[in-house]
Amino acid sequence: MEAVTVSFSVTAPLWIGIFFGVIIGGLAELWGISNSDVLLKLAKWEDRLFINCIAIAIGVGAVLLYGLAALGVGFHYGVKPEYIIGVALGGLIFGIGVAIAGYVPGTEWMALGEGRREAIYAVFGGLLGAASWTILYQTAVGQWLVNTLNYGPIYLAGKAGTNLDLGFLISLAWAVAMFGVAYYLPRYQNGKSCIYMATHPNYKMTEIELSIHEETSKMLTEGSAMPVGPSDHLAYSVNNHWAPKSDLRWLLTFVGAIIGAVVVLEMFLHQIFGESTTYSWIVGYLWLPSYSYSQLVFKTIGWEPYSDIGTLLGSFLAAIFVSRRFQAFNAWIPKTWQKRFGSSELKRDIGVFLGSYLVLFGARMAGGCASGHILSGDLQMALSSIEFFAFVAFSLLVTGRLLYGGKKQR
Amino acid sequence: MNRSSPQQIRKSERDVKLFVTFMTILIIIVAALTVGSYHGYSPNPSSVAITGFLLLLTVLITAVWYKTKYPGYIRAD
Repeated sequence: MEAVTVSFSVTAPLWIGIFFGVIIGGLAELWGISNSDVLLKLAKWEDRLFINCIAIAIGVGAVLLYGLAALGVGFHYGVKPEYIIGVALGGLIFGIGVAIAGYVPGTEWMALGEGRREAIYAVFGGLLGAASWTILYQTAVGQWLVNTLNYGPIYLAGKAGTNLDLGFLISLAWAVAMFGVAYYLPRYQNGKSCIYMATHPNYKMTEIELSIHEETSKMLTEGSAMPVGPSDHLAYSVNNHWAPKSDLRWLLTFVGAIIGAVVVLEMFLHQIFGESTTYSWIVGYLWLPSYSYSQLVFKTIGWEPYSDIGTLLGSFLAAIFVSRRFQAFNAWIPKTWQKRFGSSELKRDIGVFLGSYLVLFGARMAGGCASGHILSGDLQMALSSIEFFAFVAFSLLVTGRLLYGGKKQR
Repeated sequence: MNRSSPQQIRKSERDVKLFVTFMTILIIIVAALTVGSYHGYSPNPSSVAITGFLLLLTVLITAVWYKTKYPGYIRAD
């Protein structure tokens, strides 16, 4: 982790990381991505909410980060090194895993906090995937992957933490591109984006759009162990937050902006937001303490284990106190998976385990995951993270098409 | 799987929510006390373990509470 001090910077104690995890985990739970069906539908290119929200977070965060940096505020940058082959291969493996499991490393913790039974298998698969990379890292193959065509930590304006004025100018164009994606990419086919609907209160949804929204609401709440009563207005608003009459529609549409700002604050106080290094840290302490990758992780992980605990806690609190989506480890299988592979819970658990294995193996190979690369890295305009996102998107969509047959026909 | 349940009447959940609130405060206090002012990059595994253990215990006890309060209930929509 590289700390670059310009004129004003601070470093907070590690336990503060819990609060950042709580904010991001809580907001993401309300947003719905702890439900594996959301990412499975993304793999089918059927629900693009994840892209919409992450684009807002990246755009807002990039301008805020480099704007403040240009004014002299010091940040703890966390630009991942650009080793082209390892990042590309890791991204491909990661995308395949997400299309199978429906989870990224952070949403596995969130799903556990939401009481999802399949998340237990996801976490164990993830730990095994992280362990596999720890073992591979110190072999000739592992070293070749991380050292071949390695250009170090670079972003669109040069070496990380340098050329900050130029970085700010580029971040403006970067933000325009991100906001364009968020505004013009419809959440569902033949519809409008969440931003468009939030900023056009008189927009009337089509019958098809309304029926898909209702379907999404059912998807988010099914399997919950918490019945909803007439007084649970907040839960109703959250579970239908895209609906025209929801009073939380505007807030939850722009939840990505809050997440982007929170990541920048986190970088000011200690480090970027990441989720997958903790898996390597756990397997390092439990099983592989003497391995060189474990030693590297021990020295550099920072407050990530605490922010991961916070992610789980935030999702748990949001599910109990707001969305009422706590499942209490009920039996549940995502509909997308069920339609393709049937209702065998054993088959789904094996799928989640294997998918998560690939997710963490790919993430550690590439040096980050959806949080460290796609959110924090693309927010910093890191070249490695842009490359990672491109390869993840490619393999996620291709695997989704092969496994589930692409978009739903209506 | 994803089966319907009979209509379930919402009951008071005040006690479990008090428990969750209390445990959340306890988890943060335990993390703060075991970490102190350390702000480096190598966290104490014992601190993470006790904090994480308390959280998982809280999630499990809450799950048991809901299973007991609403036996057999699984929301279908």
